[in-house]
Amino acid sequence: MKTAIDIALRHFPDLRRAAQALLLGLALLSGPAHAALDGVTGTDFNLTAKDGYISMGDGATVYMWGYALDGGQMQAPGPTLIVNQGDQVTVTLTNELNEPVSITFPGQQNAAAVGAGGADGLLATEAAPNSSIAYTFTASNPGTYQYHSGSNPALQIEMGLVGALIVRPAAAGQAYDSPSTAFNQEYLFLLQELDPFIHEAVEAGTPVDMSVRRAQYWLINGRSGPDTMFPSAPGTPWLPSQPYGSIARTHPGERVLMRVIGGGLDLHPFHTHGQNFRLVAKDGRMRETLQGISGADAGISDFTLTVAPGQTYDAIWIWSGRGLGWDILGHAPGDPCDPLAEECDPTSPDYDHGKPIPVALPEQQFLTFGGFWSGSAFLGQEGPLPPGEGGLNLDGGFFYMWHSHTETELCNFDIFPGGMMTMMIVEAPGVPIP
Amino acid sequence: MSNCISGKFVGLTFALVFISSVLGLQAQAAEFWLRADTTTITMPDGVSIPMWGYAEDADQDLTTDDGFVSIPGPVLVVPPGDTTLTVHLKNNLPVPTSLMIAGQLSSGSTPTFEGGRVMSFTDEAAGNGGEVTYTWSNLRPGTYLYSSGTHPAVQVQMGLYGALTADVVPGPFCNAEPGGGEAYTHIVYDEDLVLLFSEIDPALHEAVATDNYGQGKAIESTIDYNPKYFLINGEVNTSGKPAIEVGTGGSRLLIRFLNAGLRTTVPVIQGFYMNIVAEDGFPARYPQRQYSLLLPAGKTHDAIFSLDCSELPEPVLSTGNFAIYDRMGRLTNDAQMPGGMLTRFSLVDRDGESIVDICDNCLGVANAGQLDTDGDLFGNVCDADLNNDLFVDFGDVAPMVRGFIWQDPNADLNADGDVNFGDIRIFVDSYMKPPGPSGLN
Repeated sequence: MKTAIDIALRHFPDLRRAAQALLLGLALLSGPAHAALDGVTGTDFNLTAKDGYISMGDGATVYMWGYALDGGQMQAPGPTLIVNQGDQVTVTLTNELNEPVSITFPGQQNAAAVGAGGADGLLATEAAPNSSIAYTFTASNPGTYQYHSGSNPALQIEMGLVGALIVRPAAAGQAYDSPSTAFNQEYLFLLQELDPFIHEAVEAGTPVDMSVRRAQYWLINGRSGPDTMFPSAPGTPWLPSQPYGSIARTHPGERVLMRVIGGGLDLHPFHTHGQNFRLVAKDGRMRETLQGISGADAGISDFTLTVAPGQTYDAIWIWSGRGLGWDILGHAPGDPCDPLAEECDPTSPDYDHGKPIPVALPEQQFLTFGGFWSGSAFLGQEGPLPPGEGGLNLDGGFFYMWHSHTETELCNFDIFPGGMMTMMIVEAPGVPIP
Repeated sequence: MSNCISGKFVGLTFALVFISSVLGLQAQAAEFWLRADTTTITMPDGVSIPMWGYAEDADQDLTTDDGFVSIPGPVLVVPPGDTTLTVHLKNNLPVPTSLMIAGQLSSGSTPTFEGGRVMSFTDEAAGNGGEVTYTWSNLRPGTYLYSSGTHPAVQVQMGLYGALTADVVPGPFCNAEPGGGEAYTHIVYDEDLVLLFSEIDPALHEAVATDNYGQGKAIESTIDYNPKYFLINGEVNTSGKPAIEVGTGGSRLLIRFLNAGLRTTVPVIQGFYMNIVAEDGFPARYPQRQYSLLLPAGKTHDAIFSLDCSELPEPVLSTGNFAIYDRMGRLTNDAQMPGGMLTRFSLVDRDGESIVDICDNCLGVANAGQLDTDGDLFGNVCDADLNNDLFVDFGDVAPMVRGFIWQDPNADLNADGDVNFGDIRIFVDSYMKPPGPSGLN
């Protein structure tokens, strides 16, 4: 935990702007204390393929193609479509680009184009420029999926014609039918990368050779770090085409559902600091054993997820203070024990209740500070800070960086830090999570 | 996943045409004679590329150079249960080469060293005609990649690669259709095919062929390897490239995925899911269901595709085809779309009535109505077996005569709503044959 804070402080000393905005965004949000996935629900969706621009963490602007919702702003990635298992889903695509586009829905086995118009594309029926086409499918299996263009797919995926599709099962609060996939919090991490020279060439109308592609920006949910840590729309009006943030928050002991999507064309080793995750499903199908055990019960525990393009993953991540050897809440032995955050059975080897942190913190003059340091090593507590330090962690949470472990992907066009990184914040019990 | 339920045409035999044209020769012995040699292949855009490849020696005598060089090399099919494999290699290349099978331990073969540097993983055959014999005396069943074991970064990408398959002896419980087999214990297939992925960097090939590769030469290493052509079974996609026909046997199609390239590929199946049953020649304890496959350089995976009429999604059944493509975006031929690693599959429809064979209740005769009045899954036009004893013989004559007189719908073999002399003719044509797909052939 201290390591994670150190990493945050050492690697991201200049991310105050992001964290301040994060806090601003959190402050602006109100309402029920239940994390909702950013996206659009329903059964009928109108998407428009159009061009626009997105902003990178280093301030660069990149020309993109994307799917817009209801004729609105081009967005990267496309709108996250959230449907229920059994829904008959219709997606109408209008093409405002100057080459044919389409949508393919990997994993939706009955997806097909309906109605008149359209021509055979490489992987799907496509709409010519200035025309429309509709696709339907029955969302027969719950899970995490993606959709992307099936026309000139290498280039059009690079250009941004990708989005997430979530199919919810009948059982609320679960990713799949198995109770082992139940979650308290859920977050989407759609990973992409882009080569800005290809985007320049497409904007200029010059030929592109995808075989010499070399990405320079690495994105989670359409943003490169530190913008990943800004809140989602409407909290970020300066990122109009990138509505989805990727900061994650949870409480000790809660089940976090990670929905991870390989949305680009390269592999990314997505690494979760703080705790292993348990892989529940791939490509929208639960892991299963021949004995009928499924989901997390048949899962694989790991700390780095090999995210391959085209694939989707569901994993459960649970953090608690158990077994650290000290009381993360800073309790005295006589204080009440919190069963979600701590082991409350005195006979358990993980019983850390009331044990002080086994190190003496150095004097302040020997510490490097940063916005995420609350001044205390204990969850939910704050300590004295020198003037001008801290201030971005008012709830005293623990910050864990979740990121691509291909460390060159923590850059924005060769400048570290940035790229494919975000934070998981473990908040003290009782701290509201919007 | 083990699935011992066969298609509905259980027990019927009919000729299977194994699709092997793109893979070169099929061999059926555990002793092979291979020649490493030069060749050229021409890409659809007209570019001619010098290659190195393997030929299977036609007369099993390496003193004469017969058999053609193919990219990839011939599929080496080891007979089920054989645990010893012998390969005789003749090397017509200008440099030494060797043969290795990743995942299989060769017997008595040793790496070659030169000045303290390892040059090969196994015994080398000298250039310009050298010969060497390899033995694997403890061969594991499974799907494997064979390739050059000498300077692999250069020699493998030049084309010195191919697939090796070794099945287990079929067990007593799960029978495959003719042409099928048991790849691993309990992993039974009715038809199988190899999809071998690789890439070509034309500049590197040109440099190797013209002696411009090596220290102090135009290209000194493969550090700038930059492939422009992306192949499945030695071919790139083009518009109008014919589909691979599947669905000729039972419902279990085994696809053996191999990556002989130097880059990762992620094959995605357009339209449905597969069961991934093995990796690197080891069967999976718990096969997982995915529409995609992470296939890094050098890896093999086996996957079962269920071509069951009741399981396949409607778009696949109605169009009769599906595709497999690389999701890492290598879909161009020297930057031109369409191209690269995409291959299409079509479900066989032998009688052409737009009902694919895996759903058709009569394979040899077009019967779009699929009339099957007695509900035995054999369409009437294939089903003169009126007493349902699985053979059309004298015992069916009396029911046919009664059917003619009393207008029994089961005797309406041509499905024209009336039992008449047209049906008698079909009965006569079917006489002394089993009912079902080939009843009228």
